[in-house]
Amino acid sequence: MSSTRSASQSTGIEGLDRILDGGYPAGRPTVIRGASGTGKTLLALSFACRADGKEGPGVIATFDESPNALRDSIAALGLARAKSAKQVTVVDLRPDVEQLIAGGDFELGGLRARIELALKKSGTSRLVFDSFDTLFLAFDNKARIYSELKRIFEWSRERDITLLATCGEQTVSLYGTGIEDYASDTVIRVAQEVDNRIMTRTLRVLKCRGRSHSTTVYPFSIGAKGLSIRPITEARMTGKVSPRRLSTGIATLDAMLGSKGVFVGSVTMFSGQSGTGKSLLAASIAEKACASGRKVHYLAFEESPDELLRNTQSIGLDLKKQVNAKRLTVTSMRSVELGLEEHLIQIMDLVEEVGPALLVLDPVSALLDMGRSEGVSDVKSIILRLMAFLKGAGVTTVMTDLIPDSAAGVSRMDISSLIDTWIRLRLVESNGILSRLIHIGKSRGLPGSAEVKEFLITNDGLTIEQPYSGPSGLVFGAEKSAVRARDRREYNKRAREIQRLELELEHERLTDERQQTLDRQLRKQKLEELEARIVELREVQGLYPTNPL
Amino acid sequence: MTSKTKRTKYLLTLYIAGLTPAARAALANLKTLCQEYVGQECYEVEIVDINKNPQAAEDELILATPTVIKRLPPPIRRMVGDLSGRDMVIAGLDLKQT
Repeated sequence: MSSTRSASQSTGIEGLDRILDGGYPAGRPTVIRGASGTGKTLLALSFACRADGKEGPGVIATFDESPNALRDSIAALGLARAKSAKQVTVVDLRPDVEQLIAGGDFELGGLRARIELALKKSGTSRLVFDSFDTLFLAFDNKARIYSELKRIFEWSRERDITLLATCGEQTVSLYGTGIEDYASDTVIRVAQEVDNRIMTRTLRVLKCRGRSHSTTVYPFSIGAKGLSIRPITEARMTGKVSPRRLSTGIATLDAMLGSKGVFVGSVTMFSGQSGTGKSLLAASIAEKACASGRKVHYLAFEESPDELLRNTQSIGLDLKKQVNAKRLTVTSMRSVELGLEEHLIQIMDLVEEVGPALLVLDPVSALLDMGRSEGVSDVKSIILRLMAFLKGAGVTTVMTDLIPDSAAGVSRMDISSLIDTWIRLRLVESNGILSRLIHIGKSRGLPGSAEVKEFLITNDGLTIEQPYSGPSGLVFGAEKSAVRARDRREYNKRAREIQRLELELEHERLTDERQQTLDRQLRKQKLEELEARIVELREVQGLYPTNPL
Repeated sequence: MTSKTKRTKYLLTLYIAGLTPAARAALANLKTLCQEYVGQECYEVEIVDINKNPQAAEDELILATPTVIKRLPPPIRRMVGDLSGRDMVIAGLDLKQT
């Protein structure tokens, strides 16, 4: 007995199982309380229809909605994918509005007999009561309904039935104390919270007798595949580290990152003002990854998928081809539509569904737009959780960060500590021409280049060039060729002058040498003449006697 | 004599979940009222214990017990509780004094 008491029954929702330490307490009643539209029925349906190897589907007793409406909800939420969901038994326990009540003494005998029958037929111990508080509206004798419900809760306990009962908030306000307070061990409250005109669904475990449970308010989301909830346990740093690299699609940028690109499974952020080419760089990486056979998902916060495909076409990136080849998927998400937590949940769901090797978030700074009342630190914590999740899943992430012109080049994100490779882009104006500059802000584990390079967007794609460094400093962009030509002209002019002077010098030197030779020859001749004259005179002198006088 | 053929036959089904105090009270109240208003030969009460025959409760979508269903004469009427509200039962089940 004690072993069944501590056991759990999966809720059919992975995140909720983790919050409840395994699931709803097996063999005990659990009450889910919440106003209309908070998702309580969905929680109940997820439990009844969950796919389970051994056990068949549960039994749903409906007190409010028609069985057909419930079956429609099951089908609409994709819960019916499991074969068992189609065979789920729905017991119609809606009070007959036309029935007359004569005499206050009655029991809910039909309810119990029919549930017992349904449980026996389906061979399950999982039971759902949807909106059981409707009974209080149908019968005047509230005290009797109270005691009858309590008996049924007790009976479910004795029979080891895991009962999940949903009710509205009004039982508490109308009848003093809610039935859940004495009849059940576990109470979960679901609510809708509206903040900054954005609705967030939340879930909180109010009590869970005799076991540990999380006390936090958990946001959750309802998507096409049912209910999704993500407890913060994802924030564990358990990501696997890969030595493999992913090319950026631009050889020069790869070279700036030590020749091969970014690490697989790392987070890269491109920061820059509007028009610096962040999205194009991200698209370039996406295209390259697709071309190498990887699966890529591009999540655009500010463009529609078609706009993205068209805009990247202009630089010769054929993303459409990759979409057709089913390697690339593009979805758009409007940042104003959902609360932060719901965004996080949806992105995580998406990643699990698509299973991409590379995820592009363009621009991740769009998440700031909804964080007005939640603040930048909330956005940071959301992104931290997202990064941890993505790293845990081994997904390489590329995100862009739009820096507003008013921010003077400072990123509003303040999350550079979470980023492995941070590539910064900026616009520089000189002589009326804007140039795009790129440099590596940081690159964990890579020999990042310290150079500022020029980033060019051409019809043929993206290129990164060395800026022109002349006597007047660094020159970028279109000015580069003009300055280069001017510098070349001046250089050549000087070179020609030097050449001319050198020739002149040579000529002078030669003239000088020739003159010197000539002079030497003349002087030598003169000397020789003088010497010859002396010899001649000496010879004539020899004819005379010594001292004839 | 002619009135005998004209007299309407009442067919009533009482659904109970075991012989609870409410079930006993309902049966007693129903019989008393029928004797009084319909007459000995003109009514028939079938008792269904849904603890023994839960499928019957499912077929008739019985929620609370005791529930009495008047099948004949039409229209079909349902009534829940121990049937201690005399006037309500007479009006609800359309019992005509003969």
